[in-house]
Amino acid sequence: MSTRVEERRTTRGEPGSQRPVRPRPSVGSYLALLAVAGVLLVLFVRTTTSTLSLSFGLFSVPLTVSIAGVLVVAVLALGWRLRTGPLLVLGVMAVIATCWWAGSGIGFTLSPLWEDLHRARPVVDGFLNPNWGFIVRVWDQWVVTIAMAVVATTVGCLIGLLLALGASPVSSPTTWTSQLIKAANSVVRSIPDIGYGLLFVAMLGGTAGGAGPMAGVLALVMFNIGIVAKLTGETIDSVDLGPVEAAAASGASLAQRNRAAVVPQILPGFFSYTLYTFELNIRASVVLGIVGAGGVGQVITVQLSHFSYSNISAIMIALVAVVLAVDYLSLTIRRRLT
Amino acid sequence: MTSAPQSTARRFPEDALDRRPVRPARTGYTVGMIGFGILFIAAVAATGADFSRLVDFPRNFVDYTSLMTQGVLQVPDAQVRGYWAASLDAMLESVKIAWIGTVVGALFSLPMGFLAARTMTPLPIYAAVRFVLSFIRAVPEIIFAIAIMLPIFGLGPMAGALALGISSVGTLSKLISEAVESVDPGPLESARASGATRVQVVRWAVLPQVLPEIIAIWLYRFEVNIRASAILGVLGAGGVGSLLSTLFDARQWERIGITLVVIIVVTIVVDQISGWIRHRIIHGVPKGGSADDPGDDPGDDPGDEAGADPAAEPGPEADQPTEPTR
Repeated sequence: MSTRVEERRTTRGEPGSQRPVRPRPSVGSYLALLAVAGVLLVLFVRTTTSTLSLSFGLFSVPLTVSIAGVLVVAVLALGWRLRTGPLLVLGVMAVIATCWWAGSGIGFTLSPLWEDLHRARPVVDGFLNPNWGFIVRVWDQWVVTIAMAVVATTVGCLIGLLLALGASPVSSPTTWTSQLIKAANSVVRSIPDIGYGLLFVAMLGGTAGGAGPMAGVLALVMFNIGIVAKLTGETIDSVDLGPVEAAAASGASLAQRNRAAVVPQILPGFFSYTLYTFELNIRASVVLGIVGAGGVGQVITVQLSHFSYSNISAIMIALVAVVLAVDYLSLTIRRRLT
Repeated sequence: MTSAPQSTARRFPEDALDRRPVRPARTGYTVGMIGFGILFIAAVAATGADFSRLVDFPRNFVDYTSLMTQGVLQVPDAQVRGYWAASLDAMLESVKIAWIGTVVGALFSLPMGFLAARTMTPLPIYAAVRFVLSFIRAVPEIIFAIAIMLPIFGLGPMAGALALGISSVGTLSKLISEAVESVDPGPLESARASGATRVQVVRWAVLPQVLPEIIAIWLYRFEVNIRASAILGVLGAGGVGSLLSTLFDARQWERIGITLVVIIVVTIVVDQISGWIRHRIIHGVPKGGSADDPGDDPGDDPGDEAGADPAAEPGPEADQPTEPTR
């Protein structure tokens, strides 16, 4: 702060030409940043020897280090030149370091893009020649997929609404329950849909055992609960407190208060989340089918193992059409709701 | 309302306006509910779900859950520590995949987002970019993985990362274009008035306003991508999804329990960190302040401060004044 005042220089000349000049950041902070940059460079050099998998065509190892190093130094220099605050520069450096960590961890390489592009030829050819008849041939699986989405959306969103009412301090009986339900909800949300799919398929038996759709519906329900409870919970947090207080003042119990003062306010938002979830479910049910939870995804798995990409392509195109149709439908419904 | 009728009752004869409002008809609502009920029952029937399975479910659930808990709670000898380490490695690989995917998506989404903003682009380009973006959004990421990335890159994390990257571009660009469109037009006008070119307008009037929001959007997508990378892992694109599907194939419930715990903990920790950074970047927006309608971005699980604050002014970053001076 003190530097900000001292360093502010005014341009000489007539008063109209004076422009505000950004204060220079403190030299000390930039020296510290320089030290951080040095540490990063050492880190780059040392970790790159351990991961030899990095290859950029002719230059295998030094190139990556130099790119990362030049980036770090450039950020530092640019920050000094543009008089950026040290925290921002540190943040950008952290981003570069994370990219390095992640990139070297997964063996980042783009060389297949120009070396092995031909390997995608048969697949892309298959995709460009969709086998249209196949869409109709598996229509029963489409029905299952959409039915699963409908059931899971309904059940999941209703449970999600109840949880959201419990999770928001506005509508929860005590702050204690609110905290508890919030924590439980973030646990539910942190397991990906495919995790639930695997879990329920293992517990119930998959398509082979005839329980695929059941497992799929349960997995989707868990997936929806997480999303809806979070989104609706946030809507409840920002609800107008007037009606709630009015209801409380007229002696309403907690349930009556929520029913009369909270739910009507969040209903439009809740419906739009529901429609949004429905869309997500159609997409997710494709993925769930891959782990054996019924629906059209299971057809994809079979076709994938036969390498019949033209069949997959037809299904994918139909899927995109269905998703776009649902998207459009929910957009119109949402417009009418709000 | 309460006192007015008494004072005016003498002067005007009572008419419909003085009566209490009639309760609106609810037939539409009732018909809708009945219709939905029929649809729901039909859907339940159409799934062909075998409900007799549910009879066994509680017992199975208790059995397997206790197996998983035993796995988590067992004394960590060398072997068990190895399980924990393997799960953590796989999960961290998922995080890496998600990060690279997000970075790739972010790099492409910035120009695409500007091209998809009506206020920034001439109509033909806008329409074309919008079309491409909505196509990308409609295609699930597994398709990019199956169709393009897995054949080119082979089974491995790199294929997953690029598939995530491509599919991120769709959502990210849409959110960014919305942020750009809802920008305060004042600075744009003054930049144009002082003779700025199109690029200069973007650099000096638009970017400073939207950058905090854009970074928040990127971070939010990172959280989404962590969950999505698990999906790609099941197809063999590395990460925790691959580990999970092998474990489930072998039905090693102890290790499944350990892996699930690792997934939950790492996901929550990353969510917390990124939520904290987002909160820090978007200054002045109180947490959960304006829950706008994030429902119309067809990514996964929006919400949070990221997509939800076009109404709120993106506050200036702490260390960077919004008015850049030279």
